[in-house]
Amino acid sequence: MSDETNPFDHGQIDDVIHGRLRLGIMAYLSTVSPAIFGELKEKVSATDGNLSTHLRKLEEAGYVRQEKRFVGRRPQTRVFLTDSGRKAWLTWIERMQGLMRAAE
Amino acid sequence: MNQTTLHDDIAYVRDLAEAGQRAPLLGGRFLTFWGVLTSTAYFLHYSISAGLFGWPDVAYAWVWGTFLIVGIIGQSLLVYTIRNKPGGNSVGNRAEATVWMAGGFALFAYFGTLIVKSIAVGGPVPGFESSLPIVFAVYGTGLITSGLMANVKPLTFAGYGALAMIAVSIWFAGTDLTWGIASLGAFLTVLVPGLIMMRREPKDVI
Repeated sequence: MSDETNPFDHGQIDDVIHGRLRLGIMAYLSTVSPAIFGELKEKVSATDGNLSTHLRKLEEAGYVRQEKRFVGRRPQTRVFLTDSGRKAWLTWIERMQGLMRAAE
Repeated sequence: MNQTTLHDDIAYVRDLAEAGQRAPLLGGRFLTFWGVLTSTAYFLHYSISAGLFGWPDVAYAWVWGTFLIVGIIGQSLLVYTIRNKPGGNSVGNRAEATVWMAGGFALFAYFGTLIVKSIAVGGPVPGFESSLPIVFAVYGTGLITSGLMANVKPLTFAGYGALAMIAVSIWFAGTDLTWGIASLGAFLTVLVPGLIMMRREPKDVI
C-alpha cells in the first residue's frame, strides 16, 4: 500500500498545522483573512507571546503573512492566510476526513 | 492521537471557522449615515415641491448640494472608523463592502452625469425625477446581498422593502407625494436596519 492511500500514516499529517492553537489560527484565517492580531488573540484565547510564537512558525512555513501598519498612532498587525497556507489547510482537512472515515 | 482528541480538535476548528463565517457585518454605521441623509433630503425635497415652508425652487440646489458634500465627507470619515473592528475581512463583510461599492459607483455615475449635464446646459435636466426607482434598486440589491451572505434577516427584509419601494415610487411618479413616501422608505429600509446592525457590532481590537 502506498503512502498516498494510508490514512493512518502520521507522516502525511502536516505537523506545522497540527497543534491545537495553530489549528485554531488556520481555521479562523480560512474565513477571515486578514485578521487583526487582537481579533485572532481573542478568538483563539491565546496570550500575545504565545500567539506570536505560533504565528512565527506558520510564517516560516509560508502559511501566513504578517503585515504591520499604524492605525492613527497605534501599531496594528494584520495576519493573512497565504495561498500555500490555504492549500495546506485544505490538505489537512482531507487527511482528517480520511482518518476518521478509516477509523469508523 | 485517539479518536476523542481528534473529534475535539475538529469541533474546536469548526467553532473557529464558524466564528469567522458569522462575524457581524460592519456596515451599520454607513447605512445609518446614508439613511439619515437620504430620508432628510427626500423629506426636504418633498417640503419644497409641496410648498410646506415656502422655500424657492433654488432650495433644491441647496438641499442636494449639501447632500453631496456631506455624503462625500461623511463616507470618507466613516471608512476610517471600522479599521479596528474584528471580522472586517470575513466573507460577509467583503461581500457587503463590494456590493455597496459597486452600487455607489452606479449611483455616482448616474447623478454625476445629471449634475454635469445640468451645469453644461445651464438648468435642470430630466432624470432626477426618475431616479427614485434606480436608487431603491441599488439599495435593495445591496441589502439583500449583504443580508443573505451574512444571514442577517432584518437586512434581507429591508432589501425586499427597498425593492417594493421601486414599485411604489413608480406608482407615485410625477407627484409631490413620491418624495415624501421615498423619505419614509429610506427611513425604514436604510436607517432602521443600519441602527439594528450597529447594535450588533463587536468592539474595536488592535
